[in-house]
Amino acid sequence: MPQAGHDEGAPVVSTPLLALLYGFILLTAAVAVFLEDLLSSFISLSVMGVLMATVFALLRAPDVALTQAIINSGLVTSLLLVAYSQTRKTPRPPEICAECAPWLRWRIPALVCGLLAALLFRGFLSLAAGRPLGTASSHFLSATLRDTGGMNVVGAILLDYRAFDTLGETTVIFAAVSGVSLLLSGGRQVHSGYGLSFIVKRGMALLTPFILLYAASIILLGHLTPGGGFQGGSVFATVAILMCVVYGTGFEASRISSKSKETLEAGGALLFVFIGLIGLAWGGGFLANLAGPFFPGTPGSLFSGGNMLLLNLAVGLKVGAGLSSIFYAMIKILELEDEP
Amino acid sequence: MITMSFVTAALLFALGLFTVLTRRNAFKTVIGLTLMESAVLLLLISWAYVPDGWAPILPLKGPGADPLPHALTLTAIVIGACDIALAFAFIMKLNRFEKTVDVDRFRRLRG
Repeated sequence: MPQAGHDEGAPVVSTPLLALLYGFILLTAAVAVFLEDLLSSFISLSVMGVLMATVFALLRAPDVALTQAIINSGLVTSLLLVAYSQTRKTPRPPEICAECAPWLRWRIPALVCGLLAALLFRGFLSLAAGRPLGTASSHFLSATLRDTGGMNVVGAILLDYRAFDTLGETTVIFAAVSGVSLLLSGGRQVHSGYGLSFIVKRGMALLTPFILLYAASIILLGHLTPGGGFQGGSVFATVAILMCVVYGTGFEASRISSKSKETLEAGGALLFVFIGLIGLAWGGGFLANLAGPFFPGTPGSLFSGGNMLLLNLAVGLKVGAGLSSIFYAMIKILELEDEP
Repeated sequence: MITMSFVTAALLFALGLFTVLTRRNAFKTVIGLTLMESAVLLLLISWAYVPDGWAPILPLKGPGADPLPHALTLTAIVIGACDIALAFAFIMKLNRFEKTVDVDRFRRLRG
């Protein structure tokens, strides 16, 4: 975060750099679409996610950049690789439809998509002219410190002004976890292999405390710096995935059972609702922060921003446990019940 | 400069739609959905960008970028990841019954 020495205004975003990044984003997206080899297109997609995170950081959205880097290019890629490895024995279908008429194969779709791109761009241009900030946005920018005691405006919107929406979002995560577990139920946990080599295992053992520290700092400082429960929880889930890759599938599952992950996830949701009910009991309304019994604290210190620290903790528990149980549900081997 | 972002977003969305329309591999369909999602995220963030603005972290030294689309985008990323995980679960389940990942060959889904 730039702090001192720039009183004359924000540093200008370099246009050539942005153009280069956009060029590479389009290139990697095209590679991901048109390459025959699925593994290469997944890696290309992951590279596109990292480039996109860089663009977000340049466009002054550090929270979004962090989320994009951790979730979209880290976690989603690992889920892609798991799904790919589970289906690798099935033959690859031909890339495009061989039976349909030649003009239907790519010409008509390309024409439609080209037209759509032109129309979309025409519509987007009307957004471009320097618009004033909306009333709500300028209120959030000017009043966050007074209303919530937090320093991270995006985190304050997510956990104070619109905390109820965040509760809904965690419900969506819960629905996704339930859906994945339900769809992939009946498989068995495979105890495949002994993981990677000794050197990688020792290296991972040295790295793990630091990754966990990073995740904890993202969660606990979510009300002060970019980050929060979603990002930190995803880093925790990434640690579980790394453990599974490095030490073999049985290692982490034997220490933290899926039952305890479910308990953690439900505990996160219950903690969130419980904090909301405290505000209600105090008379400030559901999920009330400073109107409830919480203190703003000294701005910039760890214990400030009222209940946002606790809410970040609840969201972190929920997201970390939820995403790692999605991963562990997906690596189970599915067996065909009605196999002839 | 922001016009460049809009061009990229429009092209990415069209590329994603093209993928969904023409590719037969179910994984490629998911890739197309991811591309369309990225285009929407890029559009929202470019819309929130304010020239010479600062990131919305207090204390601000000047005009700040619009924090409201940032919060929306953050939510969209997390929910998009959950969607994609669910799509993979569907692909794996269908692959188990049909022994293919070709979207034209999922015969039991035909009405």
